[in-house]
Amino acid sequence: MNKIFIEELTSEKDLYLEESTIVIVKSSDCKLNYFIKDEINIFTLIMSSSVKVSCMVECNSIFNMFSVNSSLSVNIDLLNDDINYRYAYSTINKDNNDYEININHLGNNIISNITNHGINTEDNKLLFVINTIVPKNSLNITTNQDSKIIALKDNNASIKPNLLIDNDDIEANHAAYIGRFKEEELFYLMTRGIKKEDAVDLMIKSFLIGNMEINLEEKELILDTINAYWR
Amino acid sequence: MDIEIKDLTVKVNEITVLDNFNLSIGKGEIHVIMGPNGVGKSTLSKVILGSSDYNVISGDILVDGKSILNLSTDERARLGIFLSFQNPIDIEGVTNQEFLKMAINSNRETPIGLYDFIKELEQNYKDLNFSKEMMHRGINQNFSGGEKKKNEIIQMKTLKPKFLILDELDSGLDVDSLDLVCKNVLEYHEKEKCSILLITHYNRILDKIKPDYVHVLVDGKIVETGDYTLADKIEKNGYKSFENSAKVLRED
Repeated sequence: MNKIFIEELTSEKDLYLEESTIVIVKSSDCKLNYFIKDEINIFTLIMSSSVKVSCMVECNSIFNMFSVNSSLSVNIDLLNDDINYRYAYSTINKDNNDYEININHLGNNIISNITNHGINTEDNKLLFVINTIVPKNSLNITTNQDSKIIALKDNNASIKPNLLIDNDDIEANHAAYIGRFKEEELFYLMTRGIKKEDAVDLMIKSFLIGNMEINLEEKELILDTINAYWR
Repeated sequence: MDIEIKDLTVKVNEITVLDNFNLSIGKGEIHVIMGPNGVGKSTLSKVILGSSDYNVISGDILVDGKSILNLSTDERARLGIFLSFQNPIDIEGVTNQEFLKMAINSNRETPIGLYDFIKELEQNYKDLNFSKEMMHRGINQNFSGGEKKKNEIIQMKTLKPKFLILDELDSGLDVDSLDLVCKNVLEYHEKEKCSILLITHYNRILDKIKPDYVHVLVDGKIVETGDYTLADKIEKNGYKSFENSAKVLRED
């Protein structure tokens, strides 16, 4: 599997990715410009960074992004007709961080599914702003956004799910949840002999990884990152 | 495993749900608790596993002569107590396989080998007539009511407990599935000589799992204990005839 490392303090990169390429950003303030021209499933890992992502999508594709304690501003342009697009973002967060994404539907007959999962480990600020944008001349759009933040301590997280729709011919859904893991879920796991802290660990990892469509190597990379960061 | 529940009084929000409750279950015995809705049957199962939703006011729960009241839920489970839930919840993202592997390893000094684990799990899925692909799904995710009950029994067979609490095992199961689930429970009971506490409304399951004792629970107390024929009496007359017994006990 190809890996592209970005560790410069400031940089701007144009990325024309092939299947099975992982982009890893560490401690950088950078801008990443993705150009998606083939049907691929891509994965990007961002650690302790402030990143602007621009993604120009011309065909069906899946974009998975995992971040640790980072601020992100993401702009997705779905450029052509008949695109089926899946975007999955998961983050584990300790400090004050913002995450904002615009999903621009610029063609007709587009299906987009956007899911965002966050774990807030401290009582810091974590803000999700999710903007689904459908201009007037884009027809027959189906778009879903679903965002969840689990607060492990006192909650100081918020989600702003925005549907900015200038068209009647669309189906748009949004959902947002901020809270803790359910006590009944932890109780269920503990009735099978799993210690509470292990049950929480299992729920965290499953919540973050289960959101994404990734291969085994990418999953291992996320697990290593979570293990290094969490406990 | 011997279980003794002594003079147990439990409250939820100042409401008494178990009232000086007593029950002894010897090793390998099968006990059934029957009763109408809302009398404390499911409460009892969750109290035995240490749910924080309930306050134990007085009394004790002894396992092989030792109190478990100060143990956490996971510690009680690692002793060998297993609860098959009335309504098993689904947990998105946590796969059956990941969760069961963690549960097994929580009670072992060295982690189970992947080959042994998968081999056993596949056999247990086969025994319950379940596709082994289900082990990669989230816990009970998109399972029907019957599939959830089968999944509880798969967990039971994999974790090998010594005391089974089967809370309304028969609800949500069709006739064939009930046969299959009961067959697996009986085979496990025969092999492991485990103790069983079966909680149910109906006696149809007792045709398949023959109990040593039947207890009737009304208003948080056992009001009558008997053999299998007591279940027939309930089937014939309902629970109303036991309400007077509960009233007398309350007055005492």
